[in-house]
Amino acid sequence: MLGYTIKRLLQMVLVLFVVSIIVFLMMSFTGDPVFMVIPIDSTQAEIEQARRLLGLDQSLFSQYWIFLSNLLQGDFGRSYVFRQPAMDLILERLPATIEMVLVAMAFATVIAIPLGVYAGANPNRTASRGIMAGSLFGISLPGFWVGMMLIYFFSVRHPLLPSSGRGETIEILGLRLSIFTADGWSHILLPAVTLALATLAIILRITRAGMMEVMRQDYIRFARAKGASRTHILFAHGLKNALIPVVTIFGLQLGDLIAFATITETIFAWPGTGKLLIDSIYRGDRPVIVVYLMLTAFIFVVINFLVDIVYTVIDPRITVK
Amino acid sequence: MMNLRMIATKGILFAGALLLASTALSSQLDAKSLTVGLTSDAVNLDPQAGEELSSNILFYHIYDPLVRRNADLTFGPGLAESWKLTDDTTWLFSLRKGVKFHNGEELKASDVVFTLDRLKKSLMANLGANIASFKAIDDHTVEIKTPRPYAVLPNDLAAVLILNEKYVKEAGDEQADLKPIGTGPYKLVEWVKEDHIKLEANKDYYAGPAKLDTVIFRPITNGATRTAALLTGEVDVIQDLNVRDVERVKTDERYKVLTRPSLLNVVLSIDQRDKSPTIDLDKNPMTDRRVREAMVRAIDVSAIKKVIMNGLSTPSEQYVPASHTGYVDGASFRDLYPFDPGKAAALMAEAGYADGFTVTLDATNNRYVNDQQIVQALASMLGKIKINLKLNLMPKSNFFSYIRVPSDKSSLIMSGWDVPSGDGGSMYSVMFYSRGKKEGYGQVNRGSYSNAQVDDLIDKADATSKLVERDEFLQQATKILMTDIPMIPLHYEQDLYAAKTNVEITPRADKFLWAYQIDVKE
Amino acid sequence: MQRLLSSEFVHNYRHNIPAVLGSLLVLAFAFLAIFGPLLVWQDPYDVSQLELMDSFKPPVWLEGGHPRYLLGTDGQGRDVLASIIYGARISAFIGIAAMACSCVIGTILGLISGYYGGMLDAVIMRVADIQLSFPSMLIALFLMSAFGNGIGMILIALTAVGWVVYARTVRGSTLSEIQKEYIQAARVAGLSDTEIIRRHVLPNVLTPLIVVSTIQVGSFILIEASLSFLGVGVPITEPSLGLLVKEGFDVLFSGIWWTSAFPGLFIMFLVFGINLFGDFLRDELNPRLR
Repeated sequence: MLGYTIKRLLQMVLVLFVVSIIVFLMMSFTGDPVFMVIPIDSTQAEIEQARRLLGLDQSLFSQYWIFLSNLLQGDFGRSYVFRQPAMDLILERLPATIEMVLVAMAFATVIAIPLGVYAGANPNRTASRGIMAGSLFGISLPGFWVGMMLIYFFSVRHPLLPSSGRGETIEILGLRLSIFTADGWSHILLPAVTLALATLAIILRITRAGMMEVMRQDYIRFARAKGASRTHILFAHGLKNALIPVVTIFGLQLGDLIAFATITETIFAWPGTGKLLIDSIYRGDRPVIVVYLMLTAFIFVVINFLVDIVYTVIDPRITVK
Repeated sequence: MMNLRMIATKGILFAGALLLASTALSSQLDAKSLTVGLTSDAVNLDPQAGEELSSNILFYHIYDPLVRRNADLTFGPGLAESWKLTDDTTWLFSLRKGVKFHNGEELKASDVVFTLDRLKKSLMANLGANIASFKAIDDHTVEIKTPRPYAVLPNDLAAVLILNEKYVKEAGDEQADLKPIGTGPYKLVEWVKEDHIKLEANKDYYAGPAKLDTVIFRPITNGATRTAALLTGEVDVIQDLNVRDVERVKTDERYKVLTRPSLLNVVLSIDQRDKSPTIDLDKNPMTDRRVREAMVRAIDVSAIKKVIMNGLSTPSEQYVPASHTGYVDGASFRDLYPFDPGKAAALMAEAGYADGFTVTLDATNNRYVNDQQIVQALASMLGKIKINLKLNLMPKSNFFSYIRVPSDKSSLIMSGWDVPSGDGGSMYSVMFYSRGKKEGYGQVNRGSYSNAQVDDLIDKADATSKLVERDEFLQQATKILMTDIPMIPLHYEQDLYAAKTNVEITPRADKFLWAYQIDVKE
Repeated sequence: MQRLLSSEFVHNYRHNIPAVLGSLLVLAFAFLAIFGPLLVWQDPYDVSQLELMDSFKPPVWLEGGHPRYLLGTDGQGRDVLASIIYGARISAFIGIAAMACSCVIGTILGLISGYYGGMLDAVIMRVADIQLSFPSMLIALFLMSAFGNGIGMILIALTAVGWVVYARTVRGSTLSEIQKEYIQAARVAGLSDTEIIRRHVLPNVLTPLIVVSTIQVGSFILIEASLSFLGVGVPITEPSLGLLVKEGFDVLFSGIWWTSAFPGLFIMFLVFGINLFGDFLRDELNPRLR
């Protein structure tokens, strides 16, 4: 277990290292960031001065070297545009994104698992076929389009829900959260539903597949023969064993949700990290992009690690290697 | 089972949310507070760290300049009560006495000196380009020297916001940016990034406290969402109303639409080099004045106004608006070269390009109002005189470094230019002065236009300290430019705002929405 | 042919309503993409055919609609139906071409990795691992922002995202294949590596790729649409379906819903058809999962 953890940690450091190099190289292809922050009619001398201030007068290699050595001292670099530490910019927006992603994930799970269990246990019923076709629709939907249509119907045609922003937030343990106020919920509903759809469909399908596999196993037949109630069989024996692939996909989906949150945040003007990323891309704000991607990679590795741990809890037969 | 319970809980919360949302809708505005929907969040609150519009709007709430630029582009006293010229290049500014920063410190000449000093070393050094040196004469007098006679220094100073030396030094750059301290009419209460910025009135403001006690700025990037936020009552005023939403907002009596011609002139820069990067001909046809005139005549600016801009643009007469120095009364591109495809085709034939040529137009797709639609319309209009326009569209992050002088990848560029200082000379000296002749001149001359006469007139304008003379020289330059056509001016965008009917607001020429001059009727 | 028609595969296909529906959808879209330009009267890319004065006409069944514009027009006077048909060509082309590139590159790398093993294998698989630690959407978004937009750039970005799944699948099948006796025999018989790979390994690793490819076309179409929606996809001069939706977003609130609703619906049905068919294929070709 310890060895495994160390191995994963090393892997993570490697991943982060490679990511930082690639991002640095790639970003040298984009427009010169200095022109995004200074007035257009600046003279050559003023441009040089701005370059010096932003550290852009160095070669790409030494810029990277400076970045790396600062990194080891816990300094992730400074945004060219905001002139603030890039990590701070991301961290102050992270709660908003995580909140939306978790609510979306909760919606998806709560709806998907019961439906998936039903469809997997009764694969030939019309309702199951309906559920499956519906889930396929869910995968095929362009998320941004769904968001637009939701805004159109629920904020414009019938002004029931707000179309943008986070609404009232409460500070809890230094984190600004909106899920503890009614106003906050009215704001989070549409973006979370938009974000949840694809994930819902995928979890549903995986649950169903897992269920179908499990229902064929001998122990389910024994349980039936024993006369256990149907609900008991489905949820106690069936679901528990069908959960393993669900947990894997759960981890992967969480990552995808964070990525797709960029689009949802853009549509609903949700003040999270995704919107920051898109803005930074438009502004050529390299330090923020680098740190964002490294942080995402980090979150990913951690999620996958946790997923592996959860495996062993659900199914004691599996041991992490 | 737990799942079911969670659903039930959510249902209750959801119902509560709906209830709350609907009560919020029906409740009236708070006594004196205002919520403004901006196109984006402020990036910085340190006026020397950036200059985009949202930040600028906030700067003028929190800080004051020495010279105040009024809504109609006239200039008057700000933190400086008065100023005078002691010789051609030396100015004396007398500061207002008893002005207090938000932290209680009193404004002194040393703060101004500190501000200018820090400015010169900052990213925004350009704002102080015409300041050579400065010093405090006494606690309330500052002397500023310009490198040469420069009649419009006060206009320039309207963009320089005064910081508190003690606070900036104590807090450091980072905190000064996040928790700004100025002398302005509003103080920062809180800034939740990408969500809202809350300001409250500065009771001790030197010109009297503001009428609105609280002002909240909310960034709503998407135009459509911004309109929705106004219509659902989330905000009271929105900036940059979508052109397409004008009718919809107008027809609702609870709202009003406000427009004002902006200072932003959308122009096409034409390459004047003998060989142009994107034209596959040995000689650049656009060096022929007749071709340039044909291009002007082929473009139907009023059709662009009517169809693409929904009537909300002002076709440009010249390179600068009527309020500016350098504007020639009565002269207009539209009268000189009216839309006439027949004449345009004839001019092309006369120049020997009856069969036209192919050229690439570089433009943004997210910078100017309807920029993508405009260039598509240009392609179809110029296509009628066989100028085959290829469009090279890119986001603004790539655009400005792509087209920057020496512009060695561009033949035709569509971009915008605005001169909030009201001085046409500042545009002419960077855009029309021959490239590479003088430091600080011609650095945005994207078409490599060069005319010794124009250079000479700009030199003369910059050598006088009298505003009338400067205007005279610049007008002469304008006349030459209108014949030479180094750039085709298309139109000024209209600034569009929408507000609840009870909000008293007059749009400013420089777009810097200022709550100090806004009131809400009961 | 006779054998194929009476095979179990065809039998199952004919009795699987979703599969038939899916393939019909896909066929209909293929038909539209190939012959569509002949069916609509306007070429939306040819700016000289556009009438600015006809902008924002509603669909024909609404008041103010014009029979020439079945689904209405956009802000440039472009027929929405024509834009959708031309846009679908671009979307479909990007989806299929990017899939093909990913498949070829991924398969080659997978074969190399599985057949030769060693350092090469390690490097390829580590790169794949690192890449899998990011959502593909994010990688594509990042690449597009670095390289600038354009169809060529999208193909590169999607290929960079898509090759991994092929490489992994092929590597796995190759590893199990080369342990079989006939490969050993072929080696002993002195056949060259390329010959063995081409004649014996490749044909045996391809079947699982069919399912992957089908589903991938659908997901690529969605990713491209999302990128274009964010403004880092195709240029405005060659609008894909996603860009059409984006263009419609700004006017949605003015009651002009048709410029975004129809292209979005079209994407949905296109991808839905592909997925229905892909689902069927998976059930058929991977009986384990049935």
